[in-house]
Amino acid sequence: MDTAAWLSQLKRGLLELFVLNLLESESLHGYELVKRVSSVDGMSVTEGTIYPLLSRMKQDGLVKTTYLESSTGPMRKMYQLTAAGRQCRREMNRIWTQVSASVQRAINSTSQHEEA
Amino acid sequence: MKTVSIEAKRLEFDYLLRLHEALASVDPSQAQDISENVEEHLRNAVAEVPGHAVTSADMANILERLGPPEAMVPRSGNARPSAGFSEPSRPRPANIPTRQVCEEDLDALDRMRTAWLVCVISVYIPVIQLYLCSMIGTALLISPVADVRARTGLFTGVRGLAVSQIVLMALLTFFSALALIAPLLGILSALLGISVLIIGLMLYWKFLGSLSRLVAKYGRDDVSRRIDSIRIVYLIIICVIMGGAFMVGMVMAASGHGQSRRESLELQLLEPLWAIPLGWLLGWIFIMRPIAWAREALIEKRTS
Repeated sequence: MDTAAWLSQLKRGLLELFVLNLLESESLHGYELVKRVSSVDGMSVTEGTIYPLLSRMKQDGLVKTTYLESSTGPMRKMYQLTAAGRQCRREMNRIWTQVSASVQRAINSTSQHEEA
Repeated sequence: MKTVSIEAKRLEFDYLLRLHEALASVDPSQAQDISENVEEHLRNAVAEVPGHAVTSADMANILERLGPPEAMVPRSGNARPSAGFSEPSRPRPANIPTRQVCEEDLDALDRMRTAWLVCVISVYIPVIQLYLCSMIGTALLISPVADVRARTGLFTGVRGLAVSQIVLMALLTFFSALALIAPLLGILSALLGISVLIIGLMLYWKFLGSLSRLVAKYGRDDVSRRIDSIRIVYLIIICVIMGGAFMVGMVMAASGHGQSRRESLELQLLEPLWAIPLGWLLGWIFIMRPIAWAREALIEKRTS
């Protein structure tokens, strides 16, 4: 099995959950989001993957954009969660917690069998 | 400020060109969103390059981390059919806002219209010399302006001017009242009055300029040009009126007219007879009509 392809798919799937959680506490601009995601262990993705995702999330009404004055150049586009985005984040967090716990249990039981 | 080498600029240009080609089949609002983000990303990444110069190697590194432009095409199925039996879709100019954004802009325009209506009705009415209605009208302008600005980046500076205008009008009211007790404060009131006039004109100028750009965003360049023309005409008319009033004042002062208390009172009583209709007429032609044109343009876009 091609684990590299699997990992890439996994990261891609988790990216939306990650972005939703990053935006829960504060508004961020695209570049800052890219840096935050890239700085997380195991979540390094090609930087450009986040922009189409943000665009789709905006189309879906999960995030909205506002413009903020910047002292260094043109106005910055800030992303923030909408009410629908918050709802989606809660739901995805709940599912992820369940799934990851189940996967962890499966891994633990396999490990015990292997040790036995 | 970083110096970007010609080779690095060429790499960036090629990348953005490839990106625009890759996004050609994507919904225009999404394509614009992604392009804006990538351009902002490149600006930030270039700013973070150590040293004063950005070489082609630095740029190649930035672009490599960003990934191929073709990978930026969203996978949500929003792409238009590329070929085949489906009818070719009518090309839309890029940047045209979506229907939902149009609805929000229309709502903001309605609130701006109400705000200006209050300002226009209250203008030049001596009974409410306290500027209270104008202050309320200007305050009503702040929220819709902030909404559109947050959404589109337009109307920059309008909110700041509106707030300054309210503060100045409050100060003017205060010092005008004090001037009745201490006549020397009349000089300060006069200065504040001039400031209110100048800031008011700047507010009008900025507002109509932003309104014009908002309409242009919807592809209605004809309406945008009409709004631009009318704000220039308004500025000229105001300058002529103000200049004329100043000249008349000077002539009257030189000839001793209007100096007696009775003459002064007569002038004050006569003022509403010409000032109110003139104020309303100017307000209707130069403020309410352009807003109405903008609304009509947006409504047309919404229904189309």
